[in-house]
Amino acid sequence: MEYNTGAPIYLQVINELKKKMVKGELKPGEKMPSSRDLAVEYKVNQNTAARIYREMEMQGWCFTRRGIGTFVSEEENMFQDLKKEMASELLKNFMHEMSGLGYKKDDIINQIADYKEDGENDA
Amino acid sequence: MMLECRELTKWFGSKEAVADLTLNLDKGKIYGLLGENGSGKTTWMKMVAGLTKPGRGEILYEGHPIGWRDKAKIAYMATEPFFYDFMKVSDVGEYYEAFFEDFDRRKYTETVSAMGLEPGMKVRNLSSGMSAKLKLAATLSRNAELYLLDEPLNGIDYKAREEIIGLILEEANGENTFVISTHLLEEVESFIEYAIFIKDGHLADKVNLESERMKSGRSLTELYTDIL
Amino acid sequence: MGKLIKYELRKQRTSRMVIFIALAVALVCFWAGIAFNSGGLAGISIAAMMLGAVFVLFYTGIEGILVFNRDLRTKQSYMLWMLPRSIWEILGAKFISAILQMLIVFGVSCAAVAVSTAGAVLTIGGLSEFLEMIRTMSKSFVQGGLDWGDLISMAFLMFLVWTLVIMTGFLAVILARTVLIKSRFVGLLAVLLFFVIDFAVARVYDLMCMIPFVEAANRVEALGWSVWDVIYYVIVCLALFGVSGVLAEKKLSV
Repeated sequence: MEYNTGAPIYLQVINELKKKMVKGELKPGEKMPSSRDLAVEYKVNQNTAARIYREMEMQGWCFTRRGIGTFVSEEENMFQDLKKEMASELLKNFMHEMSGLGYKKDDIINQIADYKEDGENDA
Repeated sequence: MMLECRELTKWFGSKEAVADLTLNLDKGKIYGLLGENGSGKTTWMKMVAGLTKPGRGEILYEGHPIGWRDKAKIAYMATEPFFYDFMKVSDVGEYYEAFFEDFDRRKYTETVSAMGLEPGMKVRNLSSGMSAKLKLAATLSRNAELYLLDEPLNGIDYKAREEIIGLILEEANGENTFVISTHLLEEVESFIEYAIFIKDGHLADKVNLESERMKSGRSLTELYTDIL
Repeated sequence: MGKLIKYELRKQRTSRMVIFIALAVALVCFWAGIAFNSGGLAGISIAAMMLGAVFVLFYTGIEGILVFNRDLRTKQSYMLWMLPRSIWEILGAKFISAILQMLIVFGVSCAAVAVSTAGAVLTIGGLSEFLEMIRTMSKSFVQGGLDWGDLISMAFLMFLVWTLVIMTGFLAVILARTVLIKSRFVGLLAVLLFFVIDFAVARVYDLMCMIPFVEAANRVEALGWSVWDVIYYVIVCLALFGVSGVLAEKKLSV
């Protein structure tokens, strides 16, 4: 994965894992990779991998069964919350940047309404 | 403290390769050893490995002056190929098994075959990339306490580099200590915990990267430019 | 120690092979000479073997020093010096493998020459002459044309002299490598140091000989060695070994 080298790595990996949970690539109750495999997959050291799981556990996004491994939380509601939380985080950043360019909220709404994704036909 | 170097100095003729270097390493961490060519990184590593004798100063390993017995717990890997010319890939395993009690022959055989090396291949006929992988396989198949890897990514193409980093990260389990010297900052940025900056044989700075990113948002490349 | 010796002998395998191949070629020529009744060819082969033996004895004698120098010159030196072994064990292994190398080469060459000689006598003179030769040889052994005591002390003194050469060589190489880390002139310096140490040993010996009771000591007939000479050279060998080890331990960088 490509990192923003100016921001803490462990937070970026946590974000990536959260995205995977929201997208359903990591399902509720699923076993997560071992610290060792996580370290190799994300090119971090095993101390960081352990820290990532610690932080995520503290937030309730996953839990650890001793001697077995770390698992994705089984609470479905949590995923909805996580999705909303991540969306509002993105939106906040977006609004912040747009107002930095001088756009007002109404302008932005109009802009979004007119916005066409790649491949969308003019109609 | 696993390793303490106090006012370590080494002259080559009138040139100071390492000059009053005081540096301590903790157990269970991955250290990046960074600096320009000729800044003294290799000389420092070879002194800890017991291959080069300090001119002045002392090295303490687990609290005692370092000696030949400590080589049983320190795995050093030089940049250049150093296996005997007459060896085959399997001979390297036999040699390490004969002399290092912490060597895991089975792991070596598996790693080597996963790399696409045959046991019967002659060491001196290997390409530079293969040769680098073989050195690393032998070194990492030891269960050492301290690994000193001098430029493990040098002269190796991108894909092999990723493989080698994977091997290192599998092995670095938070109990053992790694010191990795390199010029390829971007390659190691995400996993080294402390960057040790060496300039003209001195310790210029020792930085905890994750804390630094949190504090100042500086990347390793920026730190490198700022410090050296 | 055994494992170290094994790899030291492995380093000297190429030269051993070259010597054995040369020996085999000489033997083949010799037997061809016998078979085709060409006395010239057989004679030349024997002469070549004799000449070769002198050279081989000289070369294998100092090969240990050459290998040691090479061990310190290239990156392959790490193979030896990264091992958790003390300097005494490493130097000791080198010394013992040097002895073994000589014994192996010497033994095989002697066997080859003995077999050839016996074969030649047998082929040319027939069985009776061969038996006659055996009889003459065993008779001379038993009747004591040879003094076994002299033979053994001769062998021991030769061994001592050779040990002195090896130990001087080790120290010269270590000194040279300690003074000049990586230079093209290290080899030359080592050779120079070898003769300097040799000279110093000889000077000290001369000084020792001026002590009255040493001068007065009985010398072994025919060899000209006294018991003091033996003691002196044993001490010198031990001292050279000790200095080499301490110096390598403290100062030698590869």
